[in-house]
Amino acid sequence: MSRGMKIYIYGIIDSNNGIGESVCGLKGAGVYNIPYRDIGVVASDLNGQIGDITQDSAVEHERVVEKLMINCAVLPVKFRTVFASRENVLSMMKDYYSDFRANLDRLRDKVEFGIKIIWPGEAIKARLDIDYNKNNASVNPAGSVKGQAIDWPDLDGRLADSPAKRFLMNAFKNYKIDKEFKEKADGCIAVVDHLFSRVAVDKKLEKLRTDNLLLNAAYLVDRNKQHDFREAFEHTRSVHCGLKYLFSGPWPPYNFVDLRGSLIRSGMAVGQGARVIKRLSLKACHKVMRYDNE
Amino acid sequence: MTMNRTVETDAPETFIDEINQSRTGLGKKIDANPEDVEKGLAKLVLTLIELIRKLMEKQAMRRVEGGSLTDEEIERIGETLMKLEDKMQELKEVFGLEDEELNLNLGPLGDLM
Amino acid sequence: MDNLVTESEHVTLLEVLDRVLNKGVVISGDIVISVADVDLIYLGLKVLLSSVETMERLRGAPITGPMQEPT
Repeated sequence: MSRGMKIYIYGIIDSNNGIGESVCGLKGAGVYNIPYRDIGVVASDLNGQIGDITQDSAVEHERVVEKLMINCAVLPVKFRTVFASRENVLSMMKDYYSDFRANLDRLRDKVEFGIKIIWPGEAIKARLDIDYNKNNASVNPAGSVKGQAIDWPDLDGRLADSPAKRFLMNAFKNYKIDKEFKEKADGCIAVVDHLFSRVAVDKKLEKLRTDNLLLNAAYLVDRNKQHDFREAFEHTRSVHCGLKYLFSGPWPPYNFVDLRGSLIRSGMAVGQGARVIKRLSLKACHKVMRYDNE
Repeated sequence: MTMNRTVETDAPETFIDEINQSRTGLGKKIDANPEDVEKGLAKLVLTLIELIRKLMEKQAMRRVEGGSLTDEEIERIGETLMKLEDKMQELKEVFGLEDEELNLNLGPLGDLM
Repeated sequence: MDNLVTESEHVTLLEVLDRVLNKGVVISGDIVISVADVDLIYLGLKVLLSSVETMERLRGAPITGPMQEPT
């Protein structure tokens, strides 16, 4: 690893001019713009104190990005991204330029709002478990489809006599409960999401990160619709009061930066092997296990 | 013109609990440490096996749901799933890996599972 | 309609981390080495591979490797 100056970057901006007012960066370092064609990357010098970048610096990092957001379109960069040299930074800008350019155009004058919702998931699941056992105790321990009994052979009670069968029945019960739980969640989310979506341009929804964390959503909103969005939130909160809410924003559009173009292109530059791996990754990424695509 | 950035909630403790529950740490990186490299490989292999196991289990559940399985088939499917789960548990213990670690981050495409 | 409780520092930090740790511009596709959890970005691999391509062009033949058949 080379000694000397490393470059810490905060974001990509839609300007190749210097930064007007002085912005204070990590560890009090000065913040400046490295221009590349008609855009720029905002950076600080890092004097070999890489290990000093702790979680607390994340808030400093975020403050820099927010200051930039006041005056121009910003693509916020992931925390703790450091380049070994300025040449590397410029090389990166060359690779990503067209994606950066496209993202800046798309995200100009857009802000992100975050909504998290907690619902009584564990209680709902417990209820489903009780109901399931009630409905299936007598005849069909392994469960029914929409009230109709499955045609299980061996209904004389021998069903539960092997560990394998017990295992399967239990797995099936969990599967059914899980399925219904997710359906309920989808229903609840759809209602809430509908109200926010009317004011938003784009959205990213993460459903059921935990049983209780029903929704973790990011909404992309036009700058001049910020207050409308806030109103939509207040309205939702007053109507659906059985839920707990977390509202945050406006943020720079962290969740709406899309660099998949560069990912694919950089894969092609690295050779056949990598290309194959990247293709397989993209296929696997039809989110086999993510239920919200089912 | 822009509102001041705000973070507001009516239940801060509850959200802190739930969010912390689901955090798997500040980023997972493979260090240059040789032991961890082996562990990294084991993690990759087991993640793929776990993916297949989950797919198989899902497929089995759909068959059960569809009905009309013979007694023999039920026994066989149950036995297979049971053995697979036991085996995965064993392998996880051998390599000292937790359930949450068996995942692949595909960068901008998100997590595999 | 009562107001939301404002600004819990802990919650704010979690919201910030939720965004800055994984989202936004994530530079990938090159050698990224982690030093104390910091992504230190070297573009050495690209430089190396483009020089391999240059060499192949100069030689007039691909350099055989596990993924290629010799011509």
